[in-house]
Amino acid sequence: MKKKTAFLAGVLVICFALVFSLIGNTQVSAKQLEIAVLVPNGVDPYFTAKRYGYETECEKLGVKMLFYDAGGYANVNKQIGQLEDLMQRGIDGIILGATSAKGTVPVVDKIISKRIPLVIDNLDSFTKKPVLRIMKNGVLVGQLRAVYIVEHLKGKGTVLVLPGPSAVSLCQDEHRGFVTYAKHFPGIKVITEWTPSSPDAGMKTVEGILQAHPDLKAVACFSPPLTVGAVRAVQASGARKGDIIVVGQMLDAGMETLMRKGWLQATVMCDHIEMAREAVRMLVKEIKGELKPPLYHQIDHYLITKDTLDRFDRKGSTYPKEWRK
Amino acid sequence: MKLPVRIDWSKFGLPAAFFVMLIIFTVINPAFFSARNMIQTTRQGAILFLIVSGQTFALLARGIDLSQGSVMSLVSIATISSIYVLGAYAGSIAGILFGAMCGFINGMLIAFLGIPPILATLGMLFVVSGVELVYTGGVTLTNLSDIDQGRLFWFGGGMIGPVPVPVIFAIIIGFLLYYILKYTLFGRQIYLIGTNADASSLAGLPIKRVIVLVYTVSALLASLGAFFLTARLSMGFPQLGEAWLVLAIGGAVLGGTSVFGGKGGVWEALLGCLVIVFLDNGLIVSGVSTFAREAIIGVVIIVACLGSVIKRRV
Amino acid sequence: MERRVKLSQSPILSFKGITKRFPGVVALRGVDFDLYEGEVHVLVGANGAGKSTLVKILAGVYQPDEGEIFFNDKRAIIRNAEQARRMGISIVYQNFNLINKMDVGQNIFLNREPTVGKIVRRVDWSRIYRETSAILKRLHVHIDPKSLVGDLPVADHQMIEIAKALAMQSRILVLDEPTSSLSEQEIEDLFHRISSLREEGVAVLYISHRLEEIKRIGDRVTVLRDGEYVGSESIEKISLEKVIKMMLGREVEKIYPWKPRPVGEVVLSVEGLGSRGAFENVSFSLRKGEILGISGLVGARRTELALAIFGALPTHSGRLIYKGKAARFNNPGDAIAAGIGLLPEDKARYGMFPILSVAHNITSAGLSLLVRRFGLNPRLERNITEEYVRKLNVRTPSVKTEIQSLSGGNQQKIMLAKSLFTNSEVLIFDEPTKGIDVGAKEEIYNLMLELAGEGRGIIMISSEIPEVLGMSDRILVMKEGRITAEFDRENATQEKILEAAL
Ligand SMILES: Nc1ncnc2c1ncn2[C@@H]1O[C@H](COP(=O)(O)OP(=O)(O)OP(=O)(O)O)[C@@H](O)[C@H]1O
Ligand SMILES: [Mg+2]
Repeated sequence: MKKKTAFLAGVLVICFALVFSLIGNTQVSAKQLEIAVLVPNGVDPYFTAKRYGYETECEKLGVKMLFYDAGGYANVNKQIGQLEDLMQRGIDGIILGATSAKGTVPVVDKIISKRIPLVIDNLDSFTKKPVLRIMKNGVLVGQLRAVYIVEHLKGKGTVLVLPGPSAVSLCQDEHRGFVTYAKHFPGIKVITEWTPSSPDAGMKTVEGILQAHPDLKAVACFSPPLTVGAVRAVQASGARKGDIIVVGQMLDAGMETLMRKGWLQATVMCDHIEMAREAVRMLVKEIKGELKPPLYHQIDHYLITKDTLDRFDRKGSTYPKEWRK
Repeated sequence: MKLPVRIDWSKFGLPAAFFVMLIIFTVINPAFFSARNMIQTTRQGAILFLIVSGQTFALLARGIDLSQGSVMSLVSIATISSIYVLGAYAGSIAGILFGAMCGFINGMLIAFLGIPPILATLGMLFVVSGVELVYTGGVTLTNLSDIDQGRLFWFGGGMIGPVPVPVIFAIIIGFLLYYILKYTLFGRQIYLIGTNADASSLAGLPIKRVIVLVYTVSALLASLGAFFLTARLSMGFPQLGEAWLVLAIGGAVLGGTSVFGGKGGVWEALLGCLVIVFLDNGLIVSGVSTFAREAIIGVVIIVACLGSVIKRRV
Repeated sequence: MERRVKLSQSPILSFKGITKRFPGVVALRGVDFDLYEGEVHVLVGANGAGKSTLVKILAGVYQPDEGEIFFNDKRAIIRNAEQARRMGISIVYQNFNLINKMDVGQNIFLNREPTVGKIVRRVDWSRIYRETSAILKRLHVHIDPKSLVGDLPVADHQMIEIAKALAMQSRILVLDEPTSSLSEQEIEDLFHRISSLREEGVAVLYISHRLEEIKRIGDRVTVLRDGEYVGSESIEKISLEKVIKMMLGREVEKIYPWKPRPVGEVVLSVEGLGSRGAFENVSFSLRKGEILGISGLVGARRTELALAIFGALPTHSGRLIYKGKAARFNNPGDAIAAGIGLLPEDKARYGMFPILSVAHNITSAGLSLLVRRFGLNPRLERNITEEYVRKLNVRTPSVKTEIQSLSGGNQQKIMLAKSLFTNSEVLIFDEPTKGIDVGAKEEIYNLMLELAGEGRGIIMISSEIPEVLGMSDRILVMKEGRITAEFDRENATQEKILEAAL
């Protein structure tokens, strides 16, 4: 009986392992350029969108793309394993969104010294060797939010900042950007709550803070789920639309509705799909020897409000509904 | 060998500690005891209570349900997707049934294939998250029609008189579970099987059936929790349940349910989840930073687990 | 056997005014007690008298609430089991203290594994198994040191527990009911070991409900009653009747109160039953109102036979005819539903729900009997179980008490109550009086007669031949998985049974 159990358990584990390794790998084909894209957390809609960018650009340039998902920021070792496997089998170039800025340094160093072309896309790996980087400007994002809020509060009031998980360096940049701007206004009081990026965590935190600080005037959220959670808490508090300003991050369908209805005042956007395309173009140029590392390319960011919602160019930040992975 | 009987602190100590805690938080910030804060915190508590109760069933049967979190995420997505097709009411039921079905499968794997609960439910965790990932591509689901959204939201965010709807449901379900554990054959059989499976089989108890039911109930309650949470947020979030598994096990153990089976129940689940929810909320309201807050709750749960282990150790 | 007690010297261990309370009971009340080197001191008392509590205080498991312990004339506080072991106290517990998931050798050397190697200290496994076999051989036990304890029958557990205690160099050896599941030969070997330890000057504290053992092995006897010290006497000077009187505060009229009674038609017959690896071609029948004794040596597969009839062990041949119809019990549930009850041999593992209440334990096999309109009826449960507790004279604060806090013998009585609760027409009692005091034995025998008088058929499996002889209407003897003899009550004698069993 015990042996049977152990055996069955073993079979089950092996099946899982097989299934998951199959999801990651696809067949190798001939003489085409072949690149690999590694993302830390494929379920995040941000990466779903970016995948669209990578894929369409690869298609356009006739490059074959392999897609690897580490399955969460905690799976640093899994990502390291993926990178090592890639080095083993040989690959023309890699686009990397790192699970950990520090943890991935040794393997990234190895890749660079093996002269495998590499583009780090947004989620940094702190390697000191020359590499191509295409990055969001976290500090700028944070500042844009701060500027909007300070402006609308006329320099006075309590503001809650929900920067997301504290371990992510981009979140830290955004937070720093916010605080460095807001601190010039003595009337602005900033409260920071690092939270996991989920709507219920956002809601719970905002509900609690509203009790501790009934005078709360604005909430700055650093991810779409947090933004929705924050809005739900504000709605439940009995505040009227606009009593508490909510400024979010990016724009998904739910957030767009909230903005149209007047619960979400503003959000900070970037063309992340365009960014993915640019990353592919950079990598291909490096492979062809047209671009030499190091290079640090920062993309643009902009603020969207209800007024500009229908006017801004969405090409760089949306993908067609039919496209689904 | 037997243990010297010591004062069962979980019976008197914890409720006392809970009330002291309420008083302290109220003194620090009177807003803690405001009607609004009580309402929103009990609302969170109701959701956690359902999940913890589900976990309690698994623990009582000397098992564990690691798939609760991912089942919650699944229900969140399945509910919203079903509502797109079936409308608010039928869609919600469909979503919840999806979750319960995962539990049924867990139970079958454990009872009939003899896979240890920890492995079977862990496997389920991976399978469910995988399926979900493939299905949603990680995108949150929103944009219900106004009618559906209104109907759905009532379950999570509505009020009946001064009491939040989920709290009413949790109270009714709580009494039902109490009745099941105390007054039905199924309930008693869970305790017996969780205490000594060999003796249960010689006492002629339908062990397999009970195990299947236990995991179905565990998942069903997690699904109900996920449903109320989804209704409250009016959105399907593919990672909704991730943070909840730890709280579910922690809450059950904190309340005094034993990880070695056969000891605990609804009252313990209630206590455990009230302590967690009010502790968390009280710390936020008192202005304690996130890190300190997580550390404090973590320490409380670990201490409770240790207590449970020491109590049971020979 | 020569018995010399050097009472002139001072005791190695003495208890002065020891009191120990548990919620709802005073287990020991100001008990005084001395133990000398080179004596075998027998401790007797009814179930729940406080014997095991005394042992556990000595083991450092419990701390006394009042009183003092002197070790070699010096005041000693025994804080934990480790300290007791360092003082040279080794103990055979009544409820064994073995780890089922480890093998025999690992159990015997648990927490004191010998090591080899200077830098990296490794456990010296070969030495563990070598010494384990040596110890077992000295006790004439044939158990593979590498077999898992959980796979072995209870009788072996007891031997392993004893071997474990004997494996330590000890100055005080405590045996709490060591012989309850041993065969006559094993008991003989054990007593032999005890005698030679006594010669070496070891102080032995011996607890048993088998009073005939007092005379065989003891030098002195101390009696406890309801947690109180009644008296100590040297063995030569006291009769067994006197000991019983001191224990119970009354006399036991007749140990075996058997009476002739009318016997009805056949209720259960077993035809050519066989279970692979256990027994072959077993046939017998049981009548209503009959007490059928099954005797044999430990390991004669009587327990397996009982389990097979009860549907807990698969059979490959033969059949059962129950109440005139061929019956097939695929699992114990079927058997219970049909009206068969079993008191298993290994009550701790297959009977008890240790952390649940006395009431829940009693009702566990017949829950559906408690179902009323609104589900399980707790009041009914309490009333019925209190009735059993009274009838069997169980010493417990209430039926809500966790069964694990009862004394060993009282736990056994609850197990008996559990097998009675289902109201079965056929009852299989596997070692029903193991660990039960003389007074309670008498009550249990009376109860069996009462049950038989109501027309129930009783199968009583017992290793105590006097008990089988004293209580059965008919006797079967089993040996190595076969029935080797059948006797009517009138024809049966100890010699005949032994002859068929050996
Ligand atoms: N851990 C405990 N908690 C509560 N009561 C206990 C505990 N251990 C023992 N008792 C009670 O103390 C009394 C004495 O128990 P003890 O085990 O010493 O009896 P005993 O003489 O060994 O009996 P037996 O012959 O049945 O083994 C009993 O009434 C028992 O119920
Ligand atoms: Mg005892």
